[in-house]
Amino acid sequence: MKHRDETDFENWLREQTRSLGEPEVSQDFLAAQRRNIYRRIGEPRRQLWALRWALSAAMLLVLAGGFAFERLHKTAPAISDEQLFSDLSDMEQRAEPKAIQPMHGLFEE
Amino acid sequence: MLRATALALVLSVCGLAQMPRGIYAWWSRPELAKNLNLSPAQRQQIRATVQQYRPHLLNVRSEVNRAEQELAVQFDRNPVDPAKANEAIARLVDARSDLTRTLSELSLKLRLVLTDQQWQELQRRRPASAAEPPGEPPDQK
Repeated sequence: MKHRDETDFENWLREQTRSLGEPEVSQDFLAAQRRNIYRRIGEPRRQLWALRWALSAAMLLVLAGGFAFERLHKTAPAISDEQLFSDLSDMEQRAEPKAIQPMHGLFEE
Repeated sequence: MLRATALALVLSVCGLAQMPRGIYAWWSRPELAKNLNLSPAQRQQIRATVQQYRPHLLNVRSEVNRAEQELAVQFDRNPVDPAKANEAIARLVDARSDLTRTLSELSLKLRLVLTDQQWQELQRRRPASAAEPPGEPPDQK
């Protein structure tokens, strides 16, 4: 059906342009150009498919990023200034590492 | 053994030399902040300074804990590997040194925000232990 439409169109165009002078561009070239256009009209729209895939991939990436961000913030629990500086102060004031505390017994009289 | 004893002595001396001794989050205690008469600009500056140092302090805390645990693991090994134990000691010394440096730098920045009067007041209201809430200055009790 489509092929029939194209043939009719070609015949009609030939009739219409018969009286006109020879264009600067050859008829063969124009016919080839039109064939190329018809071919492309009939082709599935690959670009749209590619766009759909790209959108899906982008959405997946956004979701994965969101999960990763949430997990990162869950694994680092908030700690108050009071608690943090209390811990740091304890650490700083501890005279020696826990591992060597048992050695104190050696020096006690 | 000798190294461990030397480490204990060095760390003890470092601990005694710290000034100010035992930082605590005085800025987050509303009563104390009020008594110091901190201006809004000072409060903002203090908050910003603490926030700036917070991430590094969290890392330092983790690093010291990790180094302590690693040293304990090396001491518990049988037989003890002196090379690995010495590495663990060096890592702990580095981590504790970083802790002292960072806390001292933070303290200095906070001190620079305070007036001399506020600094004196802060010292007077300093709790006996950093874990204790600040009470009235000793001369007011």
